[in-house]
This record gives sequence, structure tokens and C-alpha cells, in this order.
Amino acid sequence: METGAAIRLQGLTKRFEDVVAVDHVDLEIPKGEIFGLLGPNGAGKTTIIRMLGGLILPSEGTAAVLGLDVVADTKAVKSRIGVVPQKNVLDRDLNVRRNLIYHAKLHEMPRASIKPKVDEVLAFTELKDKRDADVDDLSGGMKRRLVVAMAMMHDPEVLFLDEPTTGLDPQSRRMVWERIRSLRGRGITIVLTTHYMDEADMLCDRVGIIDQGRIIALGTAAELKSRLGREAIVVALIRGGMRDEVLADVRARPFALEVHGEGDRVSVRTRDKKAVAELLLTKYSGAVETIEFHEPTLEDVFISLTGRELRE
Amino acid sequence: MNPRSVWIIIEKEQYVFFKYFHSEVANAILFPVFMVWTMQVGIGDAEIPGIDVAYASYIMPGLIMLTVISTGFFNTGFVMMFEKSYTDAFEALVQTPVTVHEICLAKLVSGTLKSMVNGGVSLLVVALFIDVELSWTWLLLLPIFAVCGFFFSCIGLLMGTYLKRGYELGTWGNVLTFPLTFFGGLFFAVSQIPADLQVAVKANPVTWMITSMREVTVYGGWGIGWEMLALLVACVPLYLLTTLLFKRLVID
Repeated sequence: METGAAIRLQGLTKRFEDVVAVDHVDLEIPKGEIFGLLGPNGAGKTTIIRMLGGLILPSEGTAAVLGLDVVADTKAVKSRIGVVPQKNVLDRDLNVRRNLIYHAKLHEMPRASIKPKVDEVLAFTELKDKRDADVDDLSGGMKRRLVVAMAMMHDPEVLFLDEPTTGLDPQSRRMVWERIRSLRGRGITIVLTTHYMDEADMLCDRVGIIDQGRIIALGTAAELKSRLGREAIVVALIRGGMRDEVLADVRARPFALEVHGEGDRVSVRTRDKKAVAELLLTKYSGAVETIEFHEPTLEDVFISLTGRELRE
Repeated sequence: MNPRSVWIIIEKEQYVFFKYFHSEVANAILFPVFMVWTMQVGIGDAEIPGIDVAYASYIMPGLIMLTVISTGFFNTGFVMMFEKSYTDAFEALVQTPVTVHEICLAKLVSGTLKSMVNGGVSLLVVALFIDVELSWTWLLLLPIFAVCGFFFSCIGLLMGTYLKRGYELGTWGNVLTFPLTFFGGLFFAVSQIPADLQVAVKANPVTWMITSMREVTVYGGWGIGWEMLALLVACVPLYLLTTLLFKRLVID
């Protein structure tokens, strides 16, 4: 029986031999929501998507999509979801149009509805001019959009987008974002995995931060960022091999809630940005090349929760 | 099992097969043609122990069978490997409501059909170069090709799914198909080899395949004896085993 939730995970776990890729995840995503799973590579995002898509079996726990169990009702689940995997899963032996038609046939779409749908998704992904092009002749961004078009062919109720913009140039990324935003109005539930904080921040109604197979924080981007309170992030570029000394000094100060160093950069989470700036600009004025202040981002939330950066 | 889903995959595979048929012609079909032709020129009607027909005619069935076997193994194996490990198109396929069983059956039937097409075309071309009479009994070759093509498509599908690199599949394919074919009475009469080895040659299913085909094309017989029937029956457990292993390989 279908429930109001588009997706419900209860104790979902996946082990690969000794590695626990997904560790007892509980999650509920209501219909129509754009939900983001934000985390570094290897955090378990793709494994969750693959379990929800019926591509791998859970080791423990349950997962339901539109009220259907992903293990017991795999075929029914697959007919109602669309998946945009990380890789461009296109058939290079078929041109753009044939890829879409093949996908539609495999979804048992009525023959009469295939051609209009091909035209519709090609228009939606702005690939109409490329309908007869070979897949190998498409740019990276076009291939990505074609994968999105394929996933849209059978009007899925839930769409999984696994790192949809990884490896794309900024222009192509923006185009994919626009397409995702425009899906919001169609009532489709979207689950998006990404390690780009701006992507999650901009597109998602709610974000789940995932690390080492566990969801460690859940809420709207604003809620998650507000966890850092009235804090600010001060980022300074330190030259002359002084970084470690600056790090040690700042860490010892009471106003520094968290201090992080990467390359020549020192990042300080603080409630007193003025004190940090004064320290850096007086004691280390010769070494400080630049100093910036910004509001906490989702990346800062991740760092505050894990002590590591998303890129690590 | 939804026959329509199976057919959609078969239809697509046949489309791609015929799209690149020119390369099939170059590889699978011209090889036996040149082989037979050079043997015809080089050996002609010279007497070979245990062989009572022109040598080119004698080796022709084995060479055609090598085409059938190679197409079944390599085409099915490489298509699977490229879809799974290189283009990732296989991932798109398993994301659709088509079941793994349907995919497996479609791949095997596709491989079998391709084997039959390549075997049939190369046979007709080779027949132009040697002294054989075309007969309606040659239609009996179709089930022989089908059984052989299916047999090696099963092995090719599993190896193409399991192995990750093209050169591995190429190596293992050659290690498997050439010795089985060469040791299947392609170039020699089984009666001419030492008795101890004859047991192994006679137990080789490829010997049965080649002998059956030779019976039809060279000696004008029916060619479908108990050996071919045994192979046909063996296709059932082989199919079940292939489906089981394929599912294990693609669903973790």
C-alpha cells in the first residue's frame, strides 16, 4: 500500500565484505521534495541510490519507494523511477533518438506515445538539434543531458540524480541545474547526491549530510547552517611558511571554535571574527596575504561535524 | 519472463550487429574463405591419410564451425564486456524494469542468431571455392549452428561479464576456442591420431559439431546424430547455470 512518503529507509545497511558502505540509515522523503545527499566520495551516497534502484541488495534493513519494497517489488519500483547515474550510461552504438526509443521500449511505453515523448524530452534538455547525432559526437554536458532525458522518458515519479554535474564545465552545470529546478513544478520527487555544497544549497528543499555510511545531519540548508549559530568563518592566506605557527596560536585562543589548515590556508570558525582578524593582522601582518569573512556554508557544517573537508 | 522485453533487446543487438556487419565480414567470414582457398591451392587433391575427399572440402566444416563458435563466444562476450565495463550501457539496461533473466536470455539468443548468420554467410561464400553440391539438407545446419552458437554464447556471456579487460577476454577466448576446434578434427581425421588421444578428441563436443556438419555438407548425410541431440539437451542445464551465474555477477 502506498503511503505519503516517496522514500522510506529503515535501518538500511550495505556491507561489502568487511566494509560497511551504508550503516543503518533511517530516512523519510515526502513526495514532491528535492532532497540532497551531501557527502564526500565514498560516503555511501551512490550505494544508497543503487539500493533504491534495485541494482544492489541491502545487507540489512528495508527500503521502500512509493510504498513498494525495493527488493520484493523491484520491477514495479523500476517502472516508476528514473535514475541518472554518475556515469553517462549511453549506448554508443545508437544515436541520440535511438537511445531514447530503446529506453522507452524497455519501459513498455505504448508505441504511439514514444515519438511525442522523445520530442518533449529532447526539447526539455535542449538537445532537439542533436536528435540524429551519434553519442560519441556529443559534448560532456550534452551527454549528461541526454542521460537526464532518458531518465525522464517514462515520466518517473521519483528521479535519482547521482552527482549529476560532476566533471561538467560551469556553463553545463548551470544548464543541468536549471533543468532540475524546472522539474520541481512537475511534482516529481528528486533525490540528488552531490559533493558540491553550492549545488545542494541551491537546489534542495532538504539536505542530508552523509559521512562514512551514516546520515549525520538532516534538515534544510538554512537549518543546518544555523547550527553554527552566529558564527562566522575567517579564512586567511598565510605565506612565508608561517602556517603551522599561526594554526597553533589561533587554536590556543578561546575565541577559536574550530581551526583548520589546508595548504597555505587557515580557516577559523569563530563567534568573534573581529578578534581573529586583529590577531592575524597585528601579530602576523607580514605573513597574512589575504583575509576573508563569510557566513557558514554547508561545507562548514560538514567540517564542524566531521573535522574534515568534503573534498578529502 | 516477458517475451516482449527479450525481443526488444534482441532487436537492438541485431540492429547493431548489422550496422557493423562489414567488420564481421572481414573477420569471421573472410578467415575461412582464405583458409579454404589457400589449402585448395597448396594441397589440392593430394592424398591425406584417413581423408577420402579433397582436403579443402574436408576442413571447410571445421572452419565454418570455428566462425560459429568464435561469433558466439567473442561477439556475446565483447558486447557484454563493453556494455558493462566500458560504455556502462548495461547499467542503463538493468535500471529498466527488464529482469536479469530476460536480459540473459536476450543476450544468448542474440549471440546464437549472430552465430547462425555468420556461419550461414561464410558457408555460402566458402562453398563457391570448393567442390561441394548445395542441397536442401544443408538446412539441417541451422539447428547445428544454433546449438553451437548457443553453447559458446553462454560461455562468452559469462566470461564477458566476469572479466574486466578486453585483452583478457581475447586471450581466454583464444585459449578456449582454438584448441577445442583444432583438437576437434578440423585438420585431421580422428582415426589417424593415437588411440589414447582419440578418447579426448571424441569427448570434445566441438568434434561432434564439426563431424555433424561434415556429414551434411561433404557426405550428404543428415548430420544430426545422438551427439547433437546430447548437446541440445545439454543446452538446458547450461542455460540454467548461465542464468544463475549471470545474476550473481550483475546483482550484488
